[in-house]
Amino acid sequence: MTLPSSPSEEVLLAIAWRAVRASYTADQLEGAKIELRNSVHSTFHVDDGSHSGGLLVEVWLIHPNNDHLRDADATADATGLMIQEIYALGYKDALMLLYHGYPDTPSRHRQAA
Amino acid sequence: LTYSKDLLESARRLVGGPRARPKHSDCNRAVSTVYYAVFDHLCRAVANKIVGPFGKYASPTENWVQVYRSIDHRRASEVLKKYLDPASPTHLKQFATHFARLQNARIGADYDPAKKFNKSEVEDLIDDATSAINHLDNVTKDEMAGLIVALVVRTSQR
Repeated sequence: MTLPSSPSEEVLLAIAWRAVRASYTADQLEGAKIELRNSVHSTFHVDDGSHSGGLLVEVWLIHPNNDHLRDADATADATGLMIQEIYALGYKDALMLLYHGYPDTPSRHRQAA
Repeated sequence: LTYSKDLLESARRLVGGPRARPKHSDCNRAVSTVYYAVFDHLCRAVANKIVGPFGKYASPTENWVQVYRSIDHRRASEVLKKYLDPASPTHLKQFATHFARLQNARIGADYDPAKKFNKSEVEDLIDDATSAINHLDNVTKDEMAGLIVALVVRTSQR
């Protein structure tokens, strides 16, 4: 059976949530949402510092109510779980990379000040 | 290997202290610097293992520079991708995972005009880079040897 060129957004979101829930507590994820960005087939060759091909999915975990999770190992673990799962689906050249997003709101700046 | 940590300090200065509100251009430059700190740390670690470290106040030798510069971004990306496998040694796997994330972030920051990192996102990436550097510093001698071979040895067809 031939795989589709990329998994559906629904499948990618399910993979992302499983990985995130395995790596962070429910408290840490309160109010969080996931956005998939730049889901592209990429053969990036700008100044030879780049992704060498395949599906690249940026998984942005948006924390509207949380401050920094400050847990780099959990971020790497979640990323590893996503990559493991998408490899298992047969997408051997795919990368799913987790990033944390913090909406740049005025209230956030007031809190910091 | 303090230069890579100095680069992370440069990134912190770009985004400023708790009350600072850096421009997106400063944030994007900081992301680029954060990635470069990790890449530099990798190149220095390899050169130090092959040629040997140079003194704090000494200049690197020609051989050291040659090894340092033999590692390019794409090669590093391809080699480290192999360590994303869950069966890889922990420190190498964590380093490789952060490397992939930071390199992709840097490509966005440097080449995508629509990409706008904010201060909090940069601060997270600085933490990730710090962690990556610590993980690389903790790989075993044998693991490092395997990584070095993969990074610098080009197999030829005879």
